[in-house]
Amino acid sequence: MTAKEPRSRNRAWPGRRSVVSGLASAVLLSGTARAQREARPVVGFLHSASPETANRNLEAFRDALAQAGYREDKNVTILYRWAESRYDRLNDLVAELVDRRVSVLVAMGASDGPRAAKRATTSIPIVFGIGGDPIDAGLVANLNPQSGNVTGSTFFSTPLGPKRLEILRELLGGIRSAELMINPDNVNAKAELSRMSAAARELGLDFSSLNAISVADYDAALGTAAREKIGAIVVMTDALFNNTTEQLVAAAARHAVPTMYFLREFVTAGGLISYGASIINMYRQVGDYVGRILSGARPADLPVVQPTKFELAINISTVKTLGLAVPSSLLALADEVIE
Amino acid sequence: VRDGLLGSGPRSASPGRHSSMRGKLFRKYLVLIVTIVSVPLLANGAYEIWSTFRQHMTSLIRLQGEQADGAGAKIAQFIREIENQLGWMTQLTLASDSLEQQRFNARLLLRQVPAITEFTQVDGSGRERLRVSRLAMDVVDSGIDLSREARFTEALARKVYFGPVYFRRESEPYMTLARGGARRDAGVSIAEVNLKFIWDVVSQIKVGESGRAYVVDTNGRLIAHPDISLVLRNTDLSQLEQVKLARSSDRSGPSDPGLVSMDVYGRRVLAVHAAIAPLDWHLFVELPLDEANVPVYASLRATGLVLLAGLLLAVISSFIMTRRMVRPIHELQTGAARIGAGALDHRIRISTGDELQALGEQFNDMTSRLEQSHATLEKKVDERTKQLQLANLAKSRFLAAASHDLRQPLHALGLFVAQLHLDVGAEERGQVIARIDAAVSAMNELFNALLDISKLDADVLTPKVTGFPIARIFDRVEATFADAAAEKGLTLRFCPSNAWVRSDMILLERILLNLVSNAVRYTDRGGVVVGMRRQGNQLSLEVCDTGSGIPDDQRQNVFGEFYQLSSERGAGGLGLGLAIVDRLCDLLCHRIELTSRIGKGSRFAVTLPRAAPERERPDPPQAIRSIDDPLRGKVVVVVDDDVLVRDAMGGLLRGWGCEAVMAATGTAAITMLEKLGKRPDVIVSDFRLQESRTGIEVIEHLRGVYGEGLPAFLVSGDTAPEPLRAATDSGNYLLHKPVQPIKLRALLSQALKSGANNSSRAPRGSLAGQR
Repeated sequence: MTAKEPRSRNRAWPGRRSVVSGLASAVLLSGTARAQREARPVVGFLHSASPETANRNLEAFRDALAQAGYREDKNVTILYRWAESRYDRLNDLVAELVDRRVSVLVAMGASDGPRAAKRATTSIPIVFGIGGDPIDAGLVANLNPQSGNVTGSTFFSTPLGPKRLEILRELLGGIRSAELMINPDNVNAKAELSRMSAAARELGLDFSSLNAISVADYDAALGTAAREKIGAIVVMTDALFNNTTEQLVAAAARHAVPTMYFLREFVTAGGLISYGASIINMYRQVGDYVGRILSGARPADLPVVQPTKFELAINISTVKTLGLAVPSSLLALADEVIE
Repeated sequence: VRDGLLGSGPRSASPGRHSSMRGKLFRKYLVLIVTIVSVPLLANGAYEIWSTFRQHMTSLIRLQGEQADGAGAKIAQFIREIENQLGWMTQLTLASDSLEQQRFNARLLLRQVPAITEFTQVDGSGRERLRVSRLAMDVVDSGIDLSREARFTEALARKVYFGPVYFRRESEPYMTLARGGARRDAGVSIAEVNLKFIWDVVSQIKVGESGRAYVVDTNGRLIAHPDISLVLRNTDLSQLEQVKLARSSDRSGPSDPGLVSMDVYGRRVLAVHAAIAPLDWHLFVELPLDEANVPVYASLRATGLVLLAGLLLAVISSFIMTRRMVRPIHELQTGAARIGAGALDHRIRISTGDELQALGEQFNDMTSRLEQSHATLEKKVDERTKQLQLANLAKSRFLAAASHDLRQPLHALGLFVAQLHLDVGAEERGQVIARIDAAVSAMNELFNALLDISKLDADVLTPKVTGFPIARIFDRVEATFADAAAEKGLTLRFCPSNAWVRSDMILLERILLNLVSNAVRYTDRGGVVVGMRRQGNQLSLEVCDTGSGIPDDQRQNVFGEFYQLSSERGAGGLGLGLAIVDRLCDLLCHRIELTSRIGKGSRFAVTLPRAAPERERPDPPQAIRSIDDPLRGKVVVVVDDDVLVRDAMGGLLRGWGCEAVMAATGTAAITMLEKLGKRPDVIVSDFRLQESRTGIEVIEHLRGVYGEGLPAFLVSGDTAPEPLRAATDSGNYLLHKPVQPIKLRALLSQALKSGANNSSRAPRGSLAGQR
């Protein structure tokens, strides 16, 4: 019944630890840097993509961590490791972080990252941030694990595929076919494809997939879809796409393919429509959990957090560019309409 | 020596006791003053803290209560809103013509109410018509039979149904909310409500730094908490005191008095709760006591500091005050102790300017007076000791002189008696007897003088002061010494005086007799002049001679017993005369002065008061001695333990024609009288008898047998003051051994003449030397 008290969320003042270490650093100003580093916890941050687009999300992570009492380079060191969307590098990066004996291992992006981390260690706490279902991804047995060293947050995007397809069909009216743009390197790709296929069947749509392993593939894939008169494209939840929002949106615009995304960030960048939860909230949640673990919480006591808000965002200018008309019923339902 | 003796005991014992007593007094005052000052201070502080604490708690409870009520109302509003929305949806079902329309309405509902994750429309028969979800694709007209499910039946029966809180995928709290329409055919609208949205409400409640608001359902399970992970972990709080209390209490109770209890983290918190009316949920607002009490602690600290400062001040001032109060008392105490131990030169120094100082000064006065009297006393003691030593010396000298002076006539007596044993002629025998007589009378004179001194020392003489003409004394004294002076070829002249003096006639006569006797004795050529001189109201009785004079350094000594100027030793006389004069003058309060010039002579002057002349009564004519001898045939009882004395007295009395009864004790006397069958006419008893009985007792005894009026005399050889005083006090006439036969006869005659009168009782003492 008792639980570890979380650090205050709205703490304006650094925690005791930071004060102590700040003092220590003041005393040992020119002293041994090693001792200073040892006194400071180290967080290993693993991301399956590259840093560029993750910056805004990282801010949310750092904010939440700071609110939990840990400021980067003040009383916590964060070691960043980026897989640059090359998932085969993940194992090495994880091994590197485990070797550094980090206090917490954060694994963001594609679920391959956290899975590699889980394989590498059962002692270092792992906090994941993914878009899929963590149970399906094999990270936790249930959302309230109560044992093990893994916890985290999901923006619960992958399971929403069918819903996205439904909404996209409503937007576009009488389309007959749709395609799922996938990253075949993502372990979820196959499952996602089969689930989407089932949904498409239910909706009476022809359904197939487009592969994109890197940014370079975008034009080819979308060009093909445009040529084949594929009515619509749903983008699979994958870190690669999230990481290259601008390029993907630009490619879709170039080929004038109506595309359904999984994050509102695509829509603000000029994408047509998106349905999903906030990834920023997820980053914030991960930051909070890392802080709590650094303060002594056990990962087993921290349940996996799912989003509660799912938002529909529509970019009206893109709608117009594509020469579409949004049905008033759908427009009325949009949480965000971007001009 | 005195100081040492007195001081050694208490002084050695005193310091420890004093210091402990000093400590006691100091502690007592200190404790008293500190108590007086600090008790109100403490009480005030305690009251302040208590009231601050109460006020603070009350306001906290009120604040938390308001927050709880507000939040509770918000949550109730949240649920009611959903309820209302569902009601609308049910109503709209009847109005809308197509399922598509209904679906739009449902999606609108989901957009408007984010907490509804899934909406289901069921028709009147319990078939699912529409299911709209945020996560999954919409399901239209599935026809699934829900008619047996509680959410349908309850909603139909009671219009509204609140399902139990359940946890989706074992983590997210959900509740089914269903609403039936006014008509059965309107069916039921069902919403799956994600209760995580209540989080928005509870997380907005800010109670201090770490206060929390949370909501538990009717079973005590946590359904909303700022720490979402707690909710997701499906935490059961039904064992918390505040939850138990809230669940057991009347849900309508609007104001919660607040409860101090443990929270889910095991901290002590102040918990206030509000019931969320439609759901039987409870919202708690809790503030950790540590934080709640921060202002109280702050005020406690402030009050404590003030209190501490006050106490410190009180203690310091009490200390100073007590010291100031106690120090003079100590000063007094130690001073008194030192003075008591004999250090009379010690002075107490207190300068407080109050009663204590006055007390100290009085103490000092007392001590100095004590010191003075102590010194005086010592001086007196010294003087007296010296006097006593001198007196002792004088006594020794006196005894030596007396024994010497007695030995002389005794020696002569022995020689004369031896002469008598020889066969001498009648003429020669007459000469010897005359000399024996002279020796006896010399001894007699000496004894009388000694007795006089003794009487004077014993203070048994009571002067009988009257006014009388001095001429009466002058005549008698002149007659006494005329022959002696003529024999020595001296002129003895008494200047006639008609002055009246105020004195005891007999004693004054003794004074004059002694002075003139002295003057005649120690003057070889020239003469002696006696006269009165007026000195204002006083008279001066002066005796001048042309003797050898007395040196200045011996003027005081001549008044001592047996004192004779060395040059005059052998001139006869006893050296007691001036001693008697001196004592008599003292007794009569007459001043005696001596002026003398060596080789020229001396003058003794007695100053005495004048008396008014009266008409002089002629002395009553001396009773002519009866021809009838009053002694003849009278029974005289003599009690004496000395056989020789008894025989002598018996012979003498029988020679006088008396019937003498001689006995050693009073009892023997009575026995003998009874044998003779006679009554006694007069008693003569020795003073000191055997078995330490006294003549007084014997006289009392005989008077007891033969009547109170029986005349009696005491005869004593004692010269000690005590028996003299005892005899005088008994009222019996006291004769001193040796008793002159003539005197005894005269007394006996007088006593027997007056018969049973008490004339034999002497009212006052008299001098033996009285003639």
